[in-house]
Amino acid sequence: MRFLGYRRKNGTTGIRNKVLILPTVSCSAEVANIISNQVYGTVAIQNHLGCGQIGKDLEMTRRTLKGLAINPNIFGVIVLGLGCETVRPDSIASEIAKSGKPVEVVTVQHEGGTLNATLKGVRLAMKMVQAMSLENKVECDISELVLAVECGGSDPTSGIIANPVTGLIADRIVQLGGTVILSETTEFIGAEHILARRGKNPEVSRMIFDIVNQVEERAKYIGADIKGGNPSPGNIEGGLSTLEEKSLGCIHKAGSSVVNEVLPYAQIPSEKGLVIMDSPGFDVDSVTGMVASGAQLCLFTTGLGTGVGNPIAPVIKMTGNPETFKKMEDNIDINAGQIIEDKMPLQEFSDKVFAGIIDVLNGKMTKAEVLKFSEASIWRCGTSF
Amino acid sequence: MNSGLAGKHVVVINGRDNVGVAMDKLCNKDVLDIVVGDSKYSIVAKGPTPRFHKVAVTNIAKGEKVLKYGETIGIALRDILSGEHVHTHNIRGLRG
Repeated sequence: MRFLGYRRKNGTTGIRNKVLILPTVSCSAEVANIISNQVYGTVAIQNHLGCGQIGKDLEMTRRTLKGLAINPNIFGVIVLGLGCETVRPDSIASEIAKSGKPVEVVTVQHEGGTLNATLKGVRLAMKMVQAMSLENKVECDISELVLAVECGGSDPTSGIIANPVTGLIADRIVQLGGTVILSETTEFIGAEHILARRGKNPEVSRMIFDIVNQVEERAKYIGADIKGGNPSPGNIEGGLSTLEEKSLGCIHKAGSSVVNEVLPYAQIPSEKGLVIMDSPGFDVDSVTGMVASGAQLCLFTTGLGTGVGNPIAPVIKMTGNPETFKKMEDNIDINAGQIIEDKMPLQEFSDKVFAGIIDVLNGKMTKAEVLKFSEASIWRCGTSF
Repeated sequence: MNSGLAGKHVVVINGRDNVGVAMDKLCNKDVLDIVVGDSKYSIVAKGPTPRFHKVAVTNIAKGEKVLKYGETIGIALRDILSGEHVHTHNIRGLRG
């Protein structure tokens, strides 16, 4: 299966072509936004971190920023720093440069204020965007795709319509040699034994149990029992009878393939096929992490509806609820509620969705892209100091 | 309505499953069109089932595993007849 994409110097394949204005710290994020608003073809990410961080928490932020920058959809990067932050602009820029992407560094303190930094950033971004515009699309194979699967604002249709359809797509991409990332560790709870059985070796299975145990430990640390009250009264009213049924509905969006690898948040996979990335169930943290892991595309299922997008990867929204689609058609790309309304088999519908995904790989914009929704949020495992 | 099904639509997600999900509210004696992958067959509802809830598509004996997504979601607390509503009153989970 072929599509037209952008071949990067490090051998990865982009389905979009963008220049990233990357703020290394919250203190320079506004300037990054101003530059991005001025220059066509650029995106900025909302970085609310970058200073007052230590240890593994700092490491996670660095890894995420670098991962976003070297995502295959990014042509080049302007690193935009304040100057004195913990995440060093120069060091992150040299890490990014190893990918072969053009990188420039601007810091507010060095340039003498935000206006001077904006001016320099705009000029550098202009040049980079012009160079980017010379990139030609080339024929690429779907085995080069890394698909992020996500579910958010779930309702009773999510686990029985949109997630199973997404699972069929995920299986097909794995069969074609591509990569699928499943995240949202919180939602594995109750079905982790089933997911662990699908580990490609005992080490992978053990890591699945480990990341789930860590979620329960983190919840205990702040005085909460994450398993308590699950399935919730609302879940039961909606037709979910047991915890394992609820969790299976969530993980089913990744299909039924062998799990090849378990990754920390925002880590780039070393394996193809189905991989798991540790993340919270919070949609924006989760999608941001998967995009930092190299996903060029996100397939996002929703029951109640959401407008969430991403600055770097197109987000395709699908609902299994026909009423939600009617209410929120501006934000949702695919109405899997047709399965209910037209009594269409899941497989037949998933074939239609797959054809739609190829269109998006070839450049068709998703609704979140057209509306310029570009939420991003980096998960933390520590607190500020 | 492209599939020519006359009865109430029930989706079985995995061919191994012994329950399906009702796409409409089911009433006693409704004819149910059970869609599994590309194949279809009919059964008759035994009692009511709310929309999006589970219905047994085969007889399930007490103590037998209840399968959805091709996996065990719990065990039957009593004998469940094909066409019957399956929920917290007649199955229980094995976890949490």
